[in-house]
Amino acid sequence: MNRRELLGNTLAASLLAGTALSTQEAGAAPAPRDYYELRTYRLASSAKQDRMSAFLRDVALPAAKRVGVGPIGVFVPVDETQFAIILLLVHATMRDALTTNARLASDSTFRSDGKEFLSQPPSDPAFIRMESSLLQSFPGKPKLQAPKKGPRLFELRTYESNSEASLGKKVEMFHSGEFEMFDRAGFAQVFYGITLAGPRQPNLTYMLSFADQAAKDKGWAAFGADPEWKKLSADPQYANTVSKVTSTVLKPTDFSAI
Amino acid sequence: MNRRDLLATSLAAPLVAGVLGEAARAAGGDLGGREYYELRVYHFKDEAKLQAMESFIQRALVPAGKRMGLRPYGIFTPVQQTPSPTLYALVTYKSPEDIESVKARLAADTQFRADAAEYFRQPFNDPLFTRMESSLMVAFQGMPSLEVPPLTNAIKPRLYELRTYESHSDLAHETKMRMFNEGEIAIFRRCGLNPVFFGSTLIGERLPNLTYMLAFDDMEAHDKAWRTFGGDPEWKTLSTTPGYTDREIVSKISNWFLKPTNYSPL
Repeated sequence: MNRRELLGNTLAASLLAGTALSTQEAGAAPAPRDYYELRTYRLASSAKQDRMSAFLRDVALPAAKRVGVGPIGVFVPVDETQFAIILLLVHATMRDALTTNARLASDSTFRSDGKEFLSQPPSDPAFIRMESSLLQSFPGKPKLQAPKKGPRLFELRTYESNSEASLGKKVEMFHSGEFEMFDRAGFAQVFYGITLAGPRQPNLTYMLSFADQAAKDKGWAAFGADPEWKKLSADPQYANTVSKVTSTVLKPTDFSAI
Repeated sequence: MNRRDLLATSLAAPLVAGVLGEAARAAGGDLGGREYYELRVYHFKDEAKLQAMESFIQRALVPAGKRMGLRPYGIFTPVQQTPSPTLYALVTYKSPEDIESVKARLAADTQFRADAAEYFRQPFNDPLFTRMESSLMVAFQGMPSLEVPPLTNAIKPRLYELRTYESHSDLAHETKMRMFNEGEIAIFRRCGLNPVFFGSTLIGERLPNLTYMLAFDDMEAHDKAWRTFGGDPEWKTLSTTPGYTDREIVSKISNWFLKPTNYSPL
């Protein structure tokens, strides 16, 4: 069994356990892997979206910085009929990821500065509902890489798999040349995560970035035509590893750390 | 100071000396020894798939849990009819680090991996389960550890009630938790509602919310305990205290009746 196959099998076993371990490479200490908390706030209107943005910019993000939460990416859907705010919180440890709210709430300035937003009545809630997932980065892409500031779009993609074993194979496939193919296609690869907790499991979620819609279309066309991709995607061992793909195009708010 | 003033000034609570230490600990990510819970819900195409999953759990996971000395966990099925067969799994962890450690030990257990070999060979076009969703919770301060219920009849099928209270805001969610911590849990206990755990959801769907579990001998005991609770004078006072009424702090209640599988420690 080669190293890649071992990665796939070990991942499958660990995914069943709800973690995303990899075999440690002999000789080298593996880089510590990020945890990601991906939050989606569904909002009732663009006015609510603006109000929440202002709260995040003026109160929550400065407080997060004070208590050491983050960095935090703040995004909104490019589709302007969808009112939502997507937060990507980058954490070093599981404990960091599970104590976000407690750490923020411990900051008295957060509570006093945010009082008006935090105290909205049931008749006029700030947001409809929030949904979150906890992810751990891929072994081969342990750290989030924020793209250069400036005009940029993001694509958040979720691949659901039929089983932990299939998801393990899909993760193995990413480690078998797909990262390099995305590089060749001109995409910035922001993060790759295996979902440890949240809805619609088993799944993996990753994020790409590009300058604009034209660069996105051009990149995907180049990727689709890449001979290496054609070869890899025709490899029978990777057939049917994905049962559903969900893609959302996002733009960063002007105060997003990512 | 009346209750309403107390609530209104709770935003300034970190100024109170006792809370200051707590806030300082929380700032460092220390929630004071409270447990963490993982709740998984598996959905199946049909009964045969559910049975295959249960057989896998009994063959591979239960023995692995024994080898690891897993804390009390529960495997349940719904009492009520659901759109498709469903299985609930509740796992208890001492700390965030314990979550990582338990999972790492399970993944590294060679006996488990051998016992699970068949599970990993599921054909892609005939998956064992359709989807799974999970949430992670932290225990309430007022009930920091899960309690295995002291039931009078351990042989009869026990009845569990799992309830989720959604709040419209994080602040309302915190207020509802404070209400449980400062009185409602004690009233639950007195009325025979047998709390198993109380969790504040950290990761999952329909947030902010809290989720708790109660245990009963049977539906008759359930109905009786809730009737007692509804008539409790202290509860009547607490639930009508301005700031603590459902109308102000709870936006939606969902509940599920669950029965334990015969191999469930809970």
